Amino acid sequence: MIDPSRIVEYLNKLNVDFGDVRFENRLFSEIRVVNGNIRSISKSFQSGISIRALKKGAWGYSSTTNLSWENIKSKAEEAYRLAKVASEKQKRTTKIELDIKPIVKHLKPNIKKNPADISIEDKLSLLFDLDDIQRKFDSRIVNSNTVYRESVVENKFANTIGSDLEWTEVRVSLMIASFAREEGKLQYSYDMESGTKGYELIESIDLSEFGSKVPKEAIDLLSADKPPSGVLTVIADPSIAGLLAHEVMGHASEADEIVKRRSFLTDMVGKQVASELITMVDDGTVEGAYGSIPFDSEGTPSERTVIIENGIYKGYMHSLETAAILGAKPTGNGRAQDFNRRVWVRMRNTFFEAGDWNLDEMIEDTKSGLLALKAVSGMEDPTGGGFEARALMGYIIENGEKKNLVRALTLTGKALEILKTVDAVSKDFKLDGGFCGKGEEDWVPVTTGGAYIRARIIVGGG
Amino acid sequence: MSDIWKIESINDKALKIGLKEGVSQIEVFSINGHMRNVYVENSEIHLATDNSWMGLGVKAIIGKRVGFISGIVSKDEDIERIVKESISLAKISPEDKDFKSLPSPAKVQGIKDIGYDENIVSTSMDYFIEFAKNVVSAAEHDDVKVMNGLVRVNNYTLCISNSLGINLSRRGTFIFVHFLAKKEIAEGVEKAYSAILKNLDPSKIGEELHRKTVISAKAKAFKGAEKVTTIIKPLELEALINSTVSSAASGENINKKRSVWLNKIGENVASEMLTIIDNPFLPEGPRSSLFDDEGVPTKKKAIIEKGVLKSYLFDSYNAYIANVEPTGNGFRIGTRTIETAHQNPTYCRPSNLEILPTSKTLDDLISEIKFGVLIEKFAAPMADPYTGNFGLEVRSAILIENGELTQPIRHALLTGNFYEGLKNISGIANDSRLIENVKTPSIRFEGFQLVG
Repeated sequence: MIDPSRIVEYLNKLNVDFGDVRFENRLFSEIRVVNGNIRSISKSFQSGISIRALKKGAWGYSSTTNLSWENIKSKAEEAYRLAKVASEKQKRTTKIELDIKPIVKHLKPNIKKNPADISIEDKLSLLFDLDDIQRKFDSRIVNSNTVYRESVVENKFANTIGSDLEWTEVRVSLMIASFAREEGKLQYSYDMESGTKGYELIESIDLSEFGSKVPKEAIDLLSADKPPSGVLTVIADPSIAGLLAHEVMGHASEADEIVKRRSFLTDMVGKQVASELITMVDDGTVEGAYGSIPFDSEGTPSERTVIIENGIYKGYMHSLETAAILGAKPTGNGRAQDFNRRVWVRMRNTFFEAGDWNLDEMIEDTKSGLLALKAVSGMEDPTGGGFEARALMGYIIENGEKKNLVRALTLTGKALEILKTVDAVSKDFKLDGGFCGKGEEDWVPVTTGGAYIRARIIVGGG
Repeated sequence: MSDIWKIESINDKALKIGLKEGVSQIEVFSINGHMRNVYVENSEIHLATDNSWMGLGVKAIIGKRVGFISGIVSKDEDIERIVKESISLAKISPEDKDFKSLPSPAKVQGIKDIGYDENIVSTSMDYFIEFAKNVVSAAEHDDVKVMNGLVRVNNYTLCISNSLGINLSRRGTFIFVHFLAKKEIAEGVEKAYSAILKNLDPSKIGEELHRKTVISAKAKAFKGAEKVTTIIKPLELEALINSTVSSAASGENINKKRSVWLNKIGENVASEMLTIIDNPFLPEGPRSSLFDDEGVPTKKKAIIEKGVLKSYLFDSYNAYIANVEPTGNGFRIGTRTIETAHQNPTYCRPSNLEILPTSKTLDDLISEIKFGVLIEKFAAPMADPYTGNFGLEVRSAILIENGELTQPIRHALLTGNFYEGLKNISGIANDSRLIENVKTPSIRFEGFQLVG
């Protein structure tokens, strides 16, 4: 059995300034049902170890899946050598003096039904039912997709300070996508349920409701209008508001961007950046949320990190390194995709907290505007603070009533300008699980979402 | 076992275990991966990494029941575990009525190890750290500062075997370079890709990064809304092509009736200027190989020839459904990393896409435009794969007026439909570059809308 503490002892002998070791045992399984047929059932086992060494401000990092002691020792030496070469090739101007205390904790996952204990037959039966519901909804549904995923990641962690941690992260998700075709037109819709929960999450889903809503949306979109364009009053659903929170305000609050002075939020602590209705957090402790973690990949306990409180900008998310450089406290945001990848400052569950309005009241209170639904994609812009999101669909609002369905929206604007115009935030609250990349890769599980917000946003087609 | 795995013997062992356990058919894919990265942060070398792994993916078939398991091989017993788990999974899986058979062996001909450069394998990390530093020094002048950089060096050996007699192995390499720089509040991004070390010049990468960042810093917000002639450069064009052409030509999407090119073979789907080749023999390409990741021989073929749709891309599973021959397009490996290759089932994907250049220069294309825009950077260039619709935030572009580049712009949205765009190409240049698995020159489109 792998003992990270033994490797840490060896790192200490190599005279590293700091080092840590993380062993991961990853089990992943996926079932895809397409058009009532199994497309694939797959399982994956990945075990590996990552070793980090810090020397004179530069990091060396190595990983391997060959867990023989001789190989691990040579990998520890490689991590140390790489740190040394990197620091000698270029003297670093940033000093990294870590100020952390040892933690010893061994945690069990908080789940009711281990997904691995549920038979494939039971899982398939549920997926076939859900796939059938989609295709039987309407003859214009030409393609139905139902995808179930589960992952169990066991972590063992030790560092040269003396921390000794063990924890397990369990995640499940169920995604459906329906495609509708009519007279050469093709439209689709999707939905997903996910969480750091056991199979009880999947069993709690109302299949009939979940499986009918998506094909209905795809069919409705076949006859949807083109969206209006211009600066509109927009009620953004949690998936779109969440993109604004995550992509623009969140990525720009990752402290590595602050260290580099790349973020448009550099030096903004204490300033008003949004309407006072806005409170935004990155909370790694939301029970059952897809992005929740007990510890980050550097062994720092997770927490609720407040980024904006009643419109005032409060601060940044930190790894060990950025906290050391900026003289702050690590916030548990140092995350790596897996043992093969480096640690970056990453988000967990990032959202605008709930407000006082019911969604129906928000619509009734809107004279002319747009209810925008279902984000498809968005992109970070930490330098410029620009917001860009593509959404699948929306409804025109006229005199407080939902009217025509519109398709393929693009929403843009400057995040700070949009946030200052927020005049209503809903009690209705939903978190959507997914994966976030830093730049273009290094995917970690997160959630975005939160409340519906009403703001002035530029809308275009696309 | 050492880090240098004998992957042919792993495949052999896995096949034997499977056949002994009584499977109808079995497929084994193994990959010995090695990835090295140099990360730059804030102008300085921040981190150097060295990762190695041995991945194994086994598909066991009993009748029409299919089980696929992948895993890391840390010790010999892992091979047996992965094979036996795949058999257990096949036993409890319902029949896949679309499954007919794994592919049969066919003659593989050509230059072995195309897409492999021994120099990449034998070059030490010291060189790549120096490489990253040289990119930074070439980029950093006139207040341009490098924010992030990555030099990723991949090399691997993979082996694909099945119980029908396929047993093929090959080596591959490729390097992926990605740097981002900032000047004031503007940013520039430059990337480079190649399976061949000598194709990559750190000074050139740094100089191009500098040029882009300076242009972006001069940009002014675009005001207005009009139809514009648009030139998109290779770096931004790749993802638009991969998200649309690769999806529409996918045999799986054809079978699922969700491709806009369903039943359109022989029809005009693009301007007659456009020829797109699926080219598995591109020496610098990341998916260059004589056989795909199922062991089916690859072939060079036109997807679109002079605007006419010529072929779809099939792996063996989807080829059986469509009752056609597989085209050698069942791929698992990625175009910038190979970490998940063994975990992926094969999908219908292009090998390398090559868009044929013309003799015209980029300047020629620009000089013919009365009013238009040259795109330097989108926020995230992607079109909807199924409909082709896009609305892309322009992070950096230059207006073209009366045949000349004039004002750099940003804060604009380019909207349109990429499938329609392919029909409205008005010019193709000769400045081809490889980005991911797409080698393309700059292309000029008519009919897109630019909104400020």
